[in-house]
Amino acid sequence: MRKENNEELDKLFKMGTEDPINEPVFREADWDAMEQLLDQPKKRGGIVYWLPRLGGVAALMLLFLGWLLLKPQVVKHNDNQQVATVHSNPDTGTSGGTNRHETADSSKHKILNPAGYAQTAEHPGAGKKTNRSFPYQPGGPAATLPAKAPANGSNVIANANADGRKPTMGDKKELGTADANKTNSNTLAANTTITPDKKELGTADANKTNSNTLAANTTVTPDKKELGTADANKANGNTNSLAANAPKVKVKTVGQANGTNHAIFALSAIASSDVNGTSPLSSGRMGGNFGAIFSISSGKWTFSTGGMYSIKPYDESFANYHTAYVFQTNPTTVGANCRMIDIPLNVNYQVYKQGVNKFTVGTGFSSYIILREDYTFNYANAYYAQGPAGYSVVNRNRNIMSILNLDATYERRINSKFGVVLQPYMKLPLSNVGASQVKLQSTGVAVGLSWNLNSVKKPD
Amino acid sequence: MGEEELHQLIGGCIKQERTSQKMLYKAFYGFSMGICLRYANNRDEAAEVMNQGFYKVFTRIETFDRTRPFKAWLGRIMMNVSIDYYRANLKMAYTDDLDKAEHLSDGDLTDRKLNYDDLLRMVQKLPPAYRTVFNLFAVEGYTHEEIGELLHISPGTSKSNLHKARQKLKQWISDADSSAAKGNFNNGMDYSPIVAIKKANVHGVYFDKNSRE
Repeated sequence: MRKENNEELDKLFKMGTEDPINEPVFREADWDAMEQLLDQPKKRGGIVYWLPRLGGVAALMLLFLGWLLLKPQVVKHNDNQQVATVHSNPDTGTSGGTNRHETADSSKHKILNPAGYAQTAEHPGAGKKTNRSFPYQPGGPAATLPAKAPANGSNVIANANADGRKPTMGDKKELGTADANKTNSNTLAANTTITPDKKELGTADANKTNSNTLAANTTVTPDKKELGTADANKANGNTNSLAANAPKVKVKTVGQANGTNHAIFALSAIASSDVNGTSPLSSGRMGGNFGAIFSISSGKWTFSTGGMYSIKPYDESFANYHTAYVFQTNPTTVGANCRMIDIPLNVNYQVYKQGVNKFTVGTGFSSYIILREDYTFNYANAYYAQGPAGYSVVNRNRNIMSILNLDATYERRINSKFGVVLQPYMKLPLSNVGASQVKLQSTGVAVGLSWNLNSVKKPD
Repeated sequence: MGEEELHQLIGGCIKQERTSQKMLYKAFYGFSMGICLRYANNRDEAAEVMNQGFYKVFTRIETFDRTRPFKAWLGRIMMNVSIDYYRANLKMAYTDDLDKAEHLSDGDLTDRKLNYDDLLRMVQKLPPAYRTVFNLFAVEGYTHEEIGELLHISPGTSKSNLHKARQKLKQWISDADSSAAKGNFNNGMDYSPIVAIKKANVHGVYFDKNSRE
């Protein structure tokens, strides 16, 4: 009885409201509003076409910039680098070079081992206590560095005098300078060429990160002594080997206090626009992201994580849409809009850094916590369509560590605390995403502001 | 409008001729507005929704299969646009329009029968959530499962909303009947029809006892 009542009520309203006699009368004002709607200019979708290409161009520009800046440059003093300039004789104990001065004994000249050096009676430093806190390199010609002789053949000496004075030679001395500068590495060579009556000494050090080694060779003629002393100087954990009382060589290493690198913690605010879609990204739609990233930098490596709120709209063919619902009429395409939290876990490697500019490349994984998914079904012909217009899923799906991140990052420091970041990136799915179970890709460019939480000042 | 004339108008609309567009708009204005009025709160709102629907018609008319009835295709678009409008205003989905209730019971129906406008006003008085479900179920003929997909609600919610809609409509019809009976121009006759339909069509529908034959 109640059911019949309901059916009658439904029929009452169906017949009453669908009666064509009672259709509303036309109003001209409604047509005027319709005309305004038709006259509105169409929105441009060009940005969707250009954004992935612009992102690719930005990535290529970063790579080119990194290559350009990584080209070999003239060595210069740098606060971040140890630099030692010495004059060395390329001949002594080496494969040779110009201005070779060899004596009958030169071939026999060998770099003394520390013990031998210390025990050399005629060595001015033999009887002295030396402060050696670093291991010596085993002696040998391999320890020497390429050195160039002075153009005029005269003696050009620097940092090679046991007593602080320029070494003097009886007749000739050939010195060559040897410079080798690498990031956090020093090469020190001190060679003193000796006339036939004198012995050649050649020293060469290969310096590794935060350490210097110096092999000092000293051969002494009956008349003269050549010195190439090596002293270990400790200064806050840095070790330099120099000739005694030789001019100082500055050693400065950022972040180095006790012989180790400090980790730098940073917080970044990031915003980005990206194009989202299934493979390929030809019909991608633009979305946005914003959030915060926390990073830890140690040496050339940076580890980062954080949280980004992401809006990812995309279109897909209904053939790629997965659902248990049986459509009476299949849609042709499905429009989707996903809102999610993106939690990345990335590692970046610094490929270049000079001054305030830094360039890194990185990879990692992201996790998607999908908050909401809205799907809209587009039918080929509305008349045929007997099915839903859309569907929503709320807070149901997760993709844990199943999105591959690729990025190239350019950072420019404004001061010791702040810097700006530019980062083209790609997100490639390793598994299906969301309720529709599609391979959702994203390509975009992020910009941000970074804040070093514990910037380290350079030691004097 | 004849079939040939309709196809000519459609051809002109495909070419985006403004004259053809206006003629098509006027020809199907009443039909489209009638659909939108059932889903909207008032005439102006319905006009806005209807224009959104016609915008889709004019921009997608080249996809229309001319072997099929145009009116059905148009009606489908109007319904979808109305549902989209409802979903876009979900925060007001369960708000009762008390003003309309007062307006209706105060006297709109005291001296006349319920007609199209009265029924329409009753439907518009329903909260949007109830109104939309009632329209889709009672007028359009969708199942609760299909309504759930369309409105992103569960079938249970659809049934609940339909039940509440019916309750309200019945109550208003009863109230309207009572008001009409108080001001009965038949001078004491124990019933008077409250809607302009045959009594046989409403057999079994609950009314005030005095209205029954």
